[in-house]
Amino acid sequence: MTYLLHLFILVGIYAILSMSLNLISGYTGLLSIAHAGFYGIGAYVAALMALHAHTNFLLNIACGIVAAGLLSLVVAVPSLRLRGDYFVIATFAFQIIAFSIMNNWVSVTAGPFGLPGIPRPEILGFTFVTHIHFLVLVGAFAVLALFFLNRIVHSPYGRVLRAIREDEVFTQSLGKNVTYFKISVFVTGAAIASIGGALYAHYITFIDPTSFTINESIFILAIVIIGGSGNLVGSIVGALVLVMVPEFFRFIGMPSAIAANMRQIFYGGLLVLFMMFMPEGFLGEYTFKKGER
Amino acid sequence: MKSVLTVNNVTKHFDGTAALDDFSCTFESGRITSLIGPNGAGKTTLFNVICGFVEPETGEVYHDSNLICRLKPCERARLGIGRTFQDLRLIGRMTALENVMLASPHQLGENIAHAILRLPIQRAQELKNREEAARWLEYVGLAEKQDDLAETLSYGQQKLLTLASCLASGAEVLLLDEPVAGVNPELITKILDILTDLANKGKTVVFIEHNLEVVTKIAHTVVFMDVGQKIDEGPPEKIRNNPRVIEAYIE
Repeated sequence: MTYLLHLFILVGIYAILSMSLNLISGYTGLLSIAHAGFYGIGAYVAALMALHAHTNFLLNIACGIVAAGLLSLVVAVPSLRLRGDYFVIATFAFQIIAFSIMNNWVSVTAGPFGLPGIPRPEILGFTFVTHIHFLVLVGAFAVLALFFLNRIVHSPYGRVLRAIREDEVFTQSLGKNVTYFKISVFVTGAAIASIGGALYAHYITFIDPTSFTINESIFILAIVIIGGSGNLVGSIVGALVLVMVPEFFRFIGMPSAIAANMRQIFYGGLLVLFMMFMPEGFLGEYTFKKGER
Repeated sequence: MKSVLTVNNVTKHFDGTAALDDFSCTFESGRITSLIGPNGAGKTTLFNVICGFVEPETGEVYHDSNLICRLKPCERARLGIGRTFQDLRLIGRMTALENVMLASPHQLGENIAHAILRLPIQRAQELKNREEAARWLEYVGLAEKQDDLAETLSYGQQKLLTLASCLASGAEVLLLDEPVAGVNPELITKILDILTDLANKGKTVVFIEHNLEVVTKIAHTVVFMDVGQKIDEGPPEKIRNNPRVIEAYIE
């Protein structure tokens, strides 16, 4: 039972991550593979604040949001002025740099040893200890993220995002400052991803850089694509499927060393199959395949 | 009549070939100007230079006697310089109404904080925007298509839709790239009536067209271009009799 709760908590965290990436990649069409980087920034900032400054959980989250938002500007401002492909490369570079800093800035992040002993979160005197507590906490944040993101995508702002995805030149010709929209949407997505990181750090109570690698970025992107680009509920469904299904490998008696590798094959295979036969994902309205609708 | 758009000595080369060669022209409000000329004459390049999508090597563009060369495309659009594209650009998977609503300038809801807060003032503006967009669709005769996805409209209807979006963006100068090419004769008459009406309302209408008959019907001024230069300019009757024009159009 505890194990199942644990999985649902992970689904909640991945739902936050994939919904926020969906805003960037699914709705606006900006392919980013830096999302695990912002997830990690949120986790490290929250962990360091909690460990050294003993600050409150909500303040830790807020600081993570600010840090991820500011650092996302570093990627967005130079690269989003350029055309499409440069942006993907810039996010790739950011992801690699973010990981290297987590892994090598030993005096702050403890490098590969990670940061143990992150305290349990506390809100208004209530400490979240059990799995049930965490499920409620993560669920509440996921619902909040869904609420905010849903308002964003169903607004004139969201209308411009979809227009940018479909035709940037046309959108510009209508007087929209495309650069402003792209930068602000990237910063917003990164900021929300950092919330997932802070929740993860306070839940597991131990973080190390291996949780925030480029593989993780690709995993989050796979959730977006398989769940459906341009559909927030799709990202929740995608998180559910991609977190839960590989767990069955354990139950069919596969040794854990093989199960871990099987999981990679499963994600890769699934991504290929979806791209070939169902590029719009389970619930999506947009495909990353060019020339197809 | 007041001149709203002036292009001075603009030159632009692509791969060594001149697309615009020391080109100058003035477009006045309330008038319909037609750009004609063979393929590669530089007509679309001229639009791209005016809108800021292409940066010329030399020359200036003035709008209401203000130099606008340093402005980004979106800033020029907000000054009221609207355009449509030859390769029909619109948002295929939005409805016709959404395509027009998208164009509306100064939307509060385009600010991310407003998008999240959804204050009454923003919601009221969105409602007003919706009504206005419906009016533009009615103006171009697409009222009953407002909830159809743009990609499902016919070619001619899509041309009308891009015109409606352009108008909804608050454009006073309309740069229309082949607004009637490939459209059935019935719709052509309709589009030409709309262009005439817009000019009567004081808009500056500039359109690229290959069909001399169409041009003669509505244009006040015709500019004949070839290899990036202005070969001749004047009323349609005069241009029709220019030997270069006859040569270009009979070939």
